[in-house]
Amino acid sequence: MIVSLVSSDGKLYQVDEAVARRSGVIYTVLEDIGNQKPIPLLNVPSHVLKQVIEYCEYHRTDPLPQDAEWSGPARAELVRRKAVVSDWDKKFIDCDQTLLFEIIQAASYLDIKPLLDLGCKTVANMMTGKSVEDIRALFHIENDFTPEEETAMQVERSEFESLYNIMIKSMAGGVNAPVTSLPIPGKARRRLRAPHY
Amino acid sequence: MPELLRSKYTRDDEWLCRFLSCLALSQRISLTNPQKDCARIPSHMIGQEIGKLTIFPAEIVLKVLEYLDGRDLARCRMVCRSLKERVDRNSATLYTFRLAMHDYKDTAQTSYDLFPTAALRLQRLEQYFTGWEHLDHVQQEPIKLPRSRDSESAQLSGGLYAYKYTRKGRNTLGFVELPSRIHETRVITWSHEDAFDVAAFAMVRSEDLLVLLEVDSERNGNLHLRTLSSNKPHPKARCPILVLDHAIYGSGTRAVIQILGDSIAVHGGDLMVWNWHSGDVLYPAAGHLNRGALLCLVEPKMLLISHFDNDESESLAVYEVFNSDLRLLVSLELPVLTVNGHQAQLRILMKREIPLLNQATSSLTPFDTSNARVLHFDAIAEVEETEKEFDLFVPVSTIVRYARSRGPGASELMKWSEWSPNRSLLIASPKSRWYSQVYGSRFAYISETMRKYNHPRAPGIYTTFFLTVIDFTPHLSLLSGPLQSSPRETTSETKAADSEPNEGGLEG
Repeated sequence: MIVSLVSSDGKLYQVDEAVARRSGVIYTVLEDIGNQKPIPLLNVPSHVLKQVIEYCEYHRTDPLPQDAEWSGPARAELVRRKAVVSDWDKKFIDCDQTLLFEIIQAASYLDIKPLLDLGCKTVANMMTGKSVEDIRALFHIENDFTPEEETAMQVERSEFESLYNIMIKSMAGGVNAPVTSLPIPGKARRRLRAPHY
Repeated sequence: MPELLRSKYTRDDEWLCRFLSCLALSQRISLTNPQKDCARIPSHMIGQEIGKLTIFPAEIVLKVLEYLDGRDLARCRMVCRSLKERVDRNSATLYTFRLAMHDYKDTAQTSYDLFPTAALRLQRLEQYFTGWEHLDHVQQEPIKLPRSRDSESAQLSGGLYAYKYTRKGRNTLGFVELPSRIHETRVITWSHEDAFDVAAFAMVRSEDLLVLLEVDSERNGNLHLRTLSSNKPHPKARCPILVLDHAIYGSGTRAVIQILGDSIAVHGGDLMVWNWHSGDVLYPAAGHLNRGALLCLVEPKMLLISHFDNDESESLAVYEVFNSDLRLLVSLELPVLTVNGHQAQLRILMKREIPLLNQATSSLTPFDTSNARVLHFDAIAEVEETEKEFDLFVPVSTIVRYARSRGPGASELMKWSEWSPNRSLLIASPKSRWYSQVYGSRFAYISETMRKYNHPRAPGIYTTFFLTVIDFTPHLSLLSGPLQSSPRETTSETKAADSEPNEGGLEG
């Protein structure tokens, strides 16, 4: 059976029902009210819908994920293993950032969990190993911390103060004070260290 | 709504109504409040704004964050407020982040039944940070500590300070609970029921374990395993009193007891390694540690021994207990420092013990803390006829890694520049301190200052004790450190000495 999908800019796509049913939303629609009319997808523009359909076409024979698989232990396990991405998926998701984000939006809207996970994984990979400034540049995020807050985070290690209520006192001269700059009268110090009473 | 749709569906179209309510049921769209439409990109944002991560609904951002490890999460928290909040408000990401800050590893797969959710694991992690973590006296407030007859026979474990003192002609132990949010400062002392002379002791607070060494008149040693709280035979010990069958404790030899997990190592001329849970002897007190002295147990079956070579240069030798024998895994060279243009060989100052706290993982924690152990060595180097003192910190994981990679039989010395990892740290000793302890990634020391006091009634010199806790967790360098995990090159010894403690935190 053929299902008709209408993108937000009004283009009509005709796909197999098995392909369309990969989307949780369309699945529900077909179950509940049947395949009578074209389904309007108000949030998915045609260039994104085209990609999504391509993904669903390729994965049409995959078993449909059960809810339990995508939450709880199984998902945590999946995340931990950073589940292997197939070559086709890698090639598919290798697109410019705008399209990638639109695909993620569409996957979320249409409830296509494997595609959503693929997209999120790709974004996570983009962030891995990047510095704070790089992440800001990558996602056009403005730094909305006040300079004081930033200093607090870097110097006073506010994480530890807030998380564990610990006052951290750094060593005199800083922990990475150069070796040559701290002359310590060793013998005098030793006397202090091991007093015998 | 696009023209095409407008022409096909009218507002009162029953099918469209059902379709929309169907969508609403699956929570993709809100019919009453379009602002809540979580998956929808606001039209004004399409275009330049679309590359922003933060326009995503929280659930998507969270999915992205779940794929990141703790180090990346640490950086994300620095990016902007909304990302910081998203990391902090979710127990899964917060747990990952906090684990990484302490260099712990999640082992939830093995303890899944006990800790099925991230929230439970996070809760357990927070419980774990009690004791030391709540010590208030890190601001150099004076603490009243009883003096030990011999300052080296004092120990610090989990906020409990123990010291040896003489009472009725015998050595016995006193305990001080250090001030924390949980306990008031109080001094608990007790003498032992069987009142023997305590030659040496070691304790692990988390196991409630106190190990006492008794040396009798024939110089035979008995090892007593007690509970810290009640001084009764320890219930987990198979045999609470171990008779050391060799007359090994000669006069003038200072005995060393080290506890790590199941293993106890006793060194008083001869060495013995013993599993105190099962009672199995891993290494019988047979062979001498030739020209060396036990520094510590780095793993239940791995020993670090300071070793003097023929030319009197010192190195750290890592031995493994294997088939009731010791085999050398690797020797690690100590650095030659360049101080004020002079070369000086670093030596490890012999101490009764190297502080190394037992943080072995138990089945009751969903995380593995073994990576976080850091060894602290008191080191000296002679420069221009004065001795300069240094603190050398080496993560246990580094030593274990090199020892494992070399395997048995490799006898050549590993150069300092080869093994000195990014995360080992050498600094000039900052304080007049006389007792120090590494706890996880924290370093605590007690220092004292002597002050002349001209009180008319009681003039004299008074000593005040201070407890200071220093934190050198990796996360500072995580946030501002280099991007990729390239090992930091150390070209000269002084440079290595200056390097930051944990730049290698980025290393995989």
